[in-house]
Amino acid sequence: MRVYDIMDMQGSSVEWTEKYRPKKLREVVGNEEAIKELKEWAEAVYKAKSKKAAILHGPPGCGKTSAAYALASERGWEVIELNASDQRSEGVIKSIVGPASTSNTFSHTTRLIILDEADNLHGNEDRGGKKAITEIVKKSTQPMILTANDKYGMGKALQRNCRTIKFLQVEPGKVFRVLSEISDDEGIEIADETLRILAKNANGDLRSAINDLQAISMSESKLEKGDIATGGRDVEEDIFAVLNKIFGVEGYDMQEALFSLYSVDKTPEESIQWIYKNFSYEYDEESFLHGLHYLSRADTFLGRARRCENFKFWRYASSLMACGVLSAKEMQGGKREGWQRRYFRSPWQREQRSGEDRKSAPIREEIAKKIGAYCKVPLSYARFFVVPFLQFFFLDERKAVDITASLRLDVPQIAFLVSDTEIGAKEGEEKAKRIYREAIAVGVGEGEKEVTVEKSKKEAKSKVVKEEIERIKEGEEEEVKEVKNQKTLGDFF
Amino acid sequence: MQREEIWTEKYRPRKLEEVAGQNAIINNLQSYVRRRNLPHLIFSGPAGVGKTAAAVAMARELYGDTWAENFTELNASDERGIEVVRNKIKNFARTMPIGDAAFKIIFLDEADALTDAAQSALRRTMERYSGTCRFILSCNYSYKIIEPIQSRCSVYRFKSLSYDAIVSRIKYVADMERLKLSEDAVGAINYVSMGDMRRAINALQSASVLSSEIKPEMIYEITATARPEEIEELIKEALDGKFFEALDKLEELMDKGISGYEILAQMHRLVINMDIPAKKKVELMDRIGEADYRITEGANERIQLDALIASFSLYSGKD
Repeated sequence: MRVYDIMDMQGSSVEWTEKYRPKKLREVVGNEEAIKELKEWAEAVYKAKSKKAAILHGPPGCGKTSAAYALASERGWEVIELNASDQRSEGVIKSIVGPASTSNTFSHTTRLIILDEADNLHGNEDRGGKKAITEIVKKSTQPMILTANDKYGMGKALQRNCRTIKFLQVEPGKVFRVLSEISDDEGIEIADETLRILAKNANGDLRSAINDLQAISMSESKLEKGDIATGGRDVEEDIFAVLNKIFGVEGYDMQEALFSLYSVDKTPEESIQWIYKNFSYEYDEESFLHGLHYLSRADTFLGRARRCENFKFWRYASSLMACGVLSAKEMQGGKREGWQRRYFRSPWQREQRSGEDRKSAPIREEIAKKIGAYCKVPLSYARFFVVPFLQFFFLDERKAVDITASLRLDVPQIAFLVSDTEIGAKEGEEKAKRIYREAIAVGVGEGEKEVTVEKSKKEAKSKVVKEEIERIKEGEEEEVKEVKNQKTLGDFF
Repeated sequence: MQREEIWTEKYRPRKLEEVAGQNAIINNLQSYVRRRNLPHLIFSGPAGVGKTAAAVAMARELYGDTWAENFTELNASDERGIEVVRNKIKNFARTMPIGDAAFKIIFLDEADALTDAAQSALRRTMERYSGTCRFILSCNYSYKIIEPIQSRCSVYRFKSLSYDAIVSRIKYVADMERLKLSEDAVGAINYVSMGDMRRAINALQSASVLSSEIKPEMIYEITATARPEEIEELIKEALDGKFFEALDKLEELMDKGISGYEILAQMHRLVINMDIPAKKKVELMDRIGEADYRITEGANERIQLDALIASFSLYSGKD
C-alpha cells in the first residue's frame, strides 16, 4: 500500500482561485468603476435613506463575489452567505437571513448578507424565494449584496430596491498581470507568451484563467506554448480548423471534413450556424446555390431530429452540411480571385449588434415618453410613428435645435437621434453637444422655463428630467380622460 | 467455475496508461496524479471513448486501496433535479475524505442532462467544497454545461477512438481470454464499433460465446450488421442501373435479419468513401436520410428502400 505525504497533499490541494482571492478591495483586479461604486455604497449604507442592498451583476469570473468578500473583510463585517446550492425557499430565506438582517443587538458588528447567484432562484424548490428576498431587502437594517450574471433574471421589484452595480469582463492585460504574479508566487517557470495566450483565451473570465494556469502548471513544471492545447478553452479555434476543411481551403477530403466536424465540441445545431455565417461570397452563383441547397437540407434534418427527438438524424445533417458545402467548392474549383478569407469570430455576430440595440432601447423609450408628453399622444404612437421620423428631422441641424428645445432632450438622446445618419460616432457626439448648447440658448431666449446656462448642466438636466416626469404623469392622466389641446408634428415646421 | 463477467467492466482500465487512444489527455491526468492534486474537470466526448475509464483509473492511482470510498459516480440522467445537487452531492461533498487522501472525487456522468437550475446550484458547491472535493463532469458536449461551471473547470475533449486504439485494446482482451482473432475479425470489430470501445468489447464478448476462434462473419452476424462490401456492392449495382440485381442484394440482407435502419445507416456511412463524384455522394446521402426519415415516421420499410434503390438507378445516368 502506498503512503502519501499528507502535508504535501493538503498543502497543494488548495485551489488558486481561493488562495488568491483578494482580501482587500484594492486587490480586486479590474472593474475600478464598479469597485468605486461599491465603496460609495458601503459608506452610504449607514445613512438612513440609502438602499441597504446592492446587486453586483456581470459575466462569470469577473470578481463579483470576490469584491463582496473583500469589502466585508476590509470593513470587518461578518459574512452570512446563501447561494444557489442551498435551498432558498421563502421559509429558509426568512429563517436564516431574516433575523440576521434586522438584529444586531448583542454586538455592534455589522453583518453583510451575501446572496450569491440571486438570479438563479429555482421555480419549484425555491418557491416564494424571490418575494422573500425583496421583502428582506426592503426591511433589512444590515447591508446585503446580491450577485447575479443577469440582472434581468431578478425581477423588477427587487431591482428597484437595490443599488445595481455593473461589473465588466476583466481586460486581457490585467488577466495577464495576475497570471504572471501568481506564477511568480508559485515558483513556476512559464513563458510570457503562454500566459498571454491563457489570458486571451479566458475571454475576460479571470477565474477560468487562473484555473487554466493551475491545471497546466500541474501537468508540467516547465511550460511551453504547446501545453495549452489540452488546457481547455480552445474550442473556438477548433471550429476554424473545421471550417477550413469544409470550405476546402486545404483540399477536398470529404471524410476528413466530416470527421473533423464530428470531433469538434459542438452540436450540429451550432455548427451549422458557423458554416452558414461564413459560407458566402467566395463562391459563384451556381456553386453557392448548390451549397445552400444542402445547408437547407441539413437544416431540415436538424428540425426533424428536434421534432422527433431522434438524434440519429444529426448524422445526415452533419454529412450534408459538411460534404454539401465542400462539394460546392469543388464544383467551383478553387478560390475566386482576390478574395481574402476572413472568418466571423462568432455566428452570433449579428445578434451581438442587436445587443447594442438593446442598450439604446431605453434612450429611445425616454424620447418617446417626452414626445408623448409634449404632443399628448399615446406612448405607443410616439414610439412607432414619431421617433423614427425624428431621426430624419435631425438631419437638418436647425430643426434639430428647435425640436431639442421643445422636447428638452439631453445629449445622449440627441446623440441617439443623430447617430443613424452617416457620420462617425465621435462627430455625432459633437454634433449632439452643439445642438444641445444651441437648444438651451433658444430655450432661454424664448423664456419658456428658467433654465439658466450658469447652472451646471447636470443640475439643469436633473431639473428638466424631474419636470418631465411630472409632465409625463400628468400627460398620462390626461390621456385617460380626453386628449385635448393636441400639439402635432406640424408644430415642428 | 469462473463466473462470467461483463468484459467492459472486467477490462476497465486499472491504470491511466491502459486507457487507449487519448494520449495527450492521459499525460496530463498522470501528472495530476504525480502532484496529488487536480482541478475540477470536464470530460466531454462521444460514448465509449474512455471518459469514465479515465476518471476511474485516475482515482485508483490516486487513492490506491481506498479509491472506492473516495470516488463516487453519480449518473445525472437518473436523477437530474436540483434536489440531487442540493442533497446528495452536497452531502457527499462535505464529508471528509477517507484515509490519507486530501480530497474526494465526484464523477458526474451525463452532466449535460442536469437542468440549468441544478447546474447553477452545483457551481457554488464546487467552489465551496473544493477543499475536500473535486468534481469530474462527463458530458457529450461541453457547451451544454453552463458557463459559470465551465469557468471553474479544466475542459478535456475526448475524441472518437482511432483504429489503432481499438485494435490494441481488443487484441489485449482477446489474449487475456485466450481467443483466436484473425486480422479480418479485428477489422470487422473496428467497423462495427464506430470508435466506441464499449461496443467493440461487447461485440468481441458476444462472438466469443459462439467459438473461441473469432471470424469476421460472426462479428457481423452477432451485431446484425451487413458486411461493408455487401452494402458497397448494393450501391454500385444500383448506380450502374442494375436495379433488379440490387434489389436481390437487398432481399438477401433483409433475410439475414438486418433491419432497414441498419442498412440505411451503413449506406450512409460507406457512400462517403466510394469512388463516385463528390456531388453525387452528397445527393445520395441526402436521399438515404430522406428514406430513413420516412421510415421513422411510419412509412413502409420495404417500399421506401426499394424506391431509394430505384432512385439511385435512375440517378445513374446523370453526373
